[in-house]
Formats: sequence, C-alpha cells, structure tokens
Amino acid sequence: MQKWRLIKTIIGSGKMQMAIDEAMMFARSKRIVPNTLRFYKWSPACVSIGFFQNINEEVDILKCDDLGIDYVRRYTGGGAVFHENEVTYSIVLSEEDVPKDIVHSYRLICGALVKGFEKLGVKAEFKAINDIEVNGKKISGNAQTRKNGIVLQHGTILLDVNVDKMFSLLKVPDEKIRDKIIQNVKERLTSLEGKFDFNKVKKTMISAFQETFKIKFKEEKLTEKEEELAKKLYKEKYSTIEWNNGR
Amino acid sequence: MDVNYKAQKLLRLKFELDYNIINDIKICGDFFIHPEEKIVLIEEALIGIKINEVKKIVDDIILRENIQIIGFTSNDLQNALQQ
Repeated sequence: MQKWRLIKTIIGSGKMQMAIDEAMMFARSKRIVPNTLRFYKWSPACVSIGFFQNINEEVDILKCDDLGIDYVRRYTGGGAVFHENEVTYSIVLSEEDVPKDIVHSYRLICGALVKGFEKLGVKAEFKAINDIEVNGKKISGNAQTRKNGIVLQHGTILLDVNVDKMFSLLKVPDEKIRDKIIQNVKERLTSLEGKFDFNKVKKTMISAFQETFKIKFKEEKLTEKEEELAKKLYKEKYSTIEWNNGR
Repeated sequence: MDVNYKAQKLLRLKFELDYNIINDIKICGDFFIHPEEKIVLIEEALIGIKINEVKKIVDDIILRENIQIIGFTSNDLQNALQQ
C-alpha cells in the first residue's frame, strides 16, 4: 500500500500557514516529498481572501487590527473566510492521483471529508463547485490550485461558527442590505456545533482520507528545504502589502 | 465604473469605458481561474474591445491559452459589463 506523508499539526499565523502550503506544493513538484496531508490551526484568528479578491473590498482591516485578527491572501481562488474555530486541512498531491477535471477532483478530495463526517455521525454531501453541506447548509469550503503537475487543495471544517463576529470583519458587496446578507448567511451556514474537538475531527478525517485514497499515512516533519522555503515565502510574499492587497 | 454581478460566483468588476470600448478593466471576485496568473491575459485582451465582443474575445483566449474558468462564463462577463 502506498505511503503518503502526514504532517503534525502546526499552530501558526495565516501568513505562515499559506507559506507552508506553497512550500509543500513546491517540494512535491520537485519529487522531494510524497503526497502530503496536514491539519492546522490559525493563531491568531485570521481572515483569508481568495487570489482574485481585493483586501480592501472584502475585509475591514482596521477592525481586524483592533481585534488582533490577522489577514492574508491565499494562493487559491474562492472567497473570504474567517478562520477561528475550525479544523483546516491542506493536501498536496500529484495531478495523476486525482481526476483531470477540476470539479471532479474537488468531488474526490471532498469525498474523503464527507466520509469523515459520516464517521462522526454527520450526514454530509459534496456540493459543487467546492463546498460540503449538512442539511443543505455549508459546513466546509475548499479551494484548489494546480502548478507544475501538483494539486494543492485546502479547506475548512467548521467546529463552531459566529456569523456576527465574522461579519464584523468582512465587508459586504452592498452595505444597504448588510442585515439581509448576514441573515441569509446565518440560514445557509452550519458547523459541528462544538460537539467535536480539533483532534477528534483530525483523527477521523485522516482515517477517511486513508480509505478514500487506499493509502497509509506516515507522520513526518516538514523537510528542512520546505521549512526554509516557507520562511522565505512568509517574509517575501505572504507578509507583503503588495501580495495581501490582492487585485 | 464598479459592477457586482452574481454569476455562479460573484464577479466584481472595475472598468473604464470610452463609449462602448473598454479602456481598462480589473476582474475580481470569489471565482477560480486555472492557472490563476493568466487572468492578466484576459484583462489585457479586453482593452480596446467593444463590450459586445467580450464573449468572443474571452472564448478565444481561454481556448488559445488553455485557461479554465470556474464560477462565471464569458457570457456572464459580457452581461456584467452591459449592465
């Protein structure tokens, strides 16, 4: 059975987490490391925006600064996300191990999460393009990029959610209907409602990934090369105003 | 001019028109484009183009450059600009 790598939980800033994801993707493209899965925590809490977004249009930076909340632009597309009480995963794997069609590959990788939810006793389903829903409400958002034959997908599993806090940090496309937008999100978003902790969800999802991809994980650290590159990307890319301002 | 247009994902456009011709455009939003960096090629290709030619120009460039857009279509982009 094929052995993939599992990285121990890293607790760190959003900027560092994004740098690590990109460094892992680069190392995989150079065949230095096998396919890799990791779970991580954002500390401090952080708002991430998608590659094609503009930070000033999406995020109330002053409010983030006031509350000590970080912000970062991702390497992947998709929308703005407030990361606080969640399990975040990232997986880096060869394009050969997933369908060429991007939505089909979301379906496969998210399928592992759906299986994990089932193991937790939560009936979930993949909702194209890139979401997982429970009872018709979003519980997980996912985003993918592909470079040099490698797929990076990262995503969230909401342990609990505070929509009011989230919207105190996010701008909305039309301020005149802010209340309506917030109400709508409250009706369309759900979480594991604090019933499971990070480690329980992580362990369950690892098992689900193993079954889905018919592989075994071996827990290892990041290589020195990945750590070096992550530090460089942290400093020279993800901490810069030019990158984070976005488009 | 700023326009928000709800396609499968949200398109947020900033653009300048000179009569019906695009002088400048920035395409933002929560969509996906693969490879991401090629969005610049789409924006550049639209400069000097009439709004009613947007769909054709975008279709041509995604084919030529092997770009995949997920979350909006070339038709959505043209409709958003025509709003």
